[in-house]
Amino acid sequence: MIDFIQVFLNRVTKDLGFLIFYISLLLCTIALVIVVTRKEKKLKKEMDDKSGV
Amino acid sequence: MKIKDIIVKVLPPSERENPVFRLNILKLVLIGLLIRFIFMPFFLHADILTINSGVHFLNYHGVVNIYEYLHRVGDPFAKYTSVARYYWTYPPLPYFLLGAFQFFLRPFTTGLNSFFNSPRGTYELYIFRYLFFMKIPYLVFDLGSAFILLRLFKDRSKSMLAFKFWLFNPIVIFTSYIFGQFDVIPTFFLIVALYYASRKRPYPSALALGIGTCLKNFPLFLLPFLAVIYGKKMIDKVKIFFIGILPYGLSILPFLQGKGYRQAALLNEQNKRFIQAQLGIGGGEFLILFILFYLFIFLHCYYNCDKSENFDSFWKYDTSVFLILFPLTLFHPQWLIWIIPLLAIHYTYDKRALLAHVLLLLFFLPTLTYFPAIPKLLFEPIYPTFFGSLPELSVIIAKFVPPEIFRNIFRSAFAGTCLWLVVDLITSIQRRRIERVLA
Repeated sequence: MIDFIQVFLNRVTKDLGFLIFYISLLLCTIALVIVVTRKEKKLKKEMDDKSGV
Repeated sequence: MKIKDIIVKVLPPSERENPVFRLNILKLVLIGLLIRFIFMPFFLHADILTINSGVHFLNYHGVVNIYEYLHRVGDPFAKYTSVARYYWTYPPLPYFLLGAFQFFLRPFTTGLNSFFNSPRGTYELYIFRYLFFMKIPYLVFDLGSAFILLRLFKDRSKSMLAFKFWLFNPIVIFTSYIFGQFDVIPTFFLIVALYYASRKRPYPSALALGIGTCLKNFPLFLLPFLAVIYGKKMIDKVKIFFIGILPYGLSILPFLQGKGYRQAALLNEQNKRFIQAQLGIGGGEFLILFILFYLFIFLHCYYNCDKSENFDSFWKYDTSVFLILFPLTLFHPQWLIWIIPLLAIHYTYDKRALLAHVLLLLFFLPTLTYFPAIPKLLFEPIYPTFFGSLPELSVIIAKFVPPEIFRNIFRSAFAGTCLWLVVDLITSIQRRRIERVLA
């Protein structure tokens, strides 16, 4: 298993430019999901409060 | 016009002003994208390299007629062990469409030309980068398909259901981002055709089916149904059919003269698969089962389709055509995406259908062992020496049971599920007709 991870990491890190781009892309998407989910919940709560639910 | 306005425009008009709905859609799209991004760089099937190595002749060598060029030159790298091979068995349009994407993505894929001219294969240093950017065109059509499905229904809950069904469908993700085939593009045009058909606009619908046929041949099977269901008089039926066939005719016309096109794209193995399920009647004669059942469904449509509920008839007959095509053809795994939009519609109208859809998927998975490269080659970019040396799945299965028996048990179960779905859809059309007559 360690050998497996080592080979994979070795291959991935060879193209450092793409690795940085790819990790940034994943992190940005995850961050956006979190932000949007929070905003959606907040908005839903506000709307529920307004309508008196 | 701001980008935000354009994005809002793709939402259903009734929900554009609803901020909670907009955020919900954005959240789902982002999660869908995240899942796709995870798979994009790490999985490979020879098809994506073959497609892109074919297309690279347009961008890097200026070859316009790929069929004649390859017919003349052959596969110069067949002697190498590289997984990419030079052949082009698809219609001409994807060559130019994917070529345009490859051209615009050139700044991110430096060295792609030398990669296709070398035997490095999965040992390539930039393989993850190449795989990621080769799959970018699919994202455009994939998301486009999801948004059209969102607008297909007037009812909000149905729209959301179809949207999620597509966005998180394992077949959609597998076909485009693991397997790397471009079937999502013609499927997008099939969804466009369904959208216009649902709005009772048969001519744009036929045009969309025609463009889809220019990419892969399967939308052509649905064109006669569109013509019969939506054409009021015979002249309308002919017009709809002609509009659908026109883009295909125009796109292949410049290539039709050459021997290379006829051999590679018209008379290739994939196209012959539709006629390979046969039933012997003695004396060396046989019935071609796909034609037999296709004509049965077509004539049923001709005599029984509901003209007042034409979209209902259209998607049900379309689904039935694919449900007989798959069991009667040694179909490639990526073909299964063709039926996904239709199953999405089916699921939104009939929740109990989900069990049959799940069964289809479960029975389909073991049949993949027919293809020796699955899953061996799919994982090869991650660790080429390890996955490359793994035995094929069928070899492992052979230790317990003959692999062809194992596969064909599941193939038969898959066919049985398809048959049940066809009977269910056809009888529901019949039922509606009887109800209408009685009313």
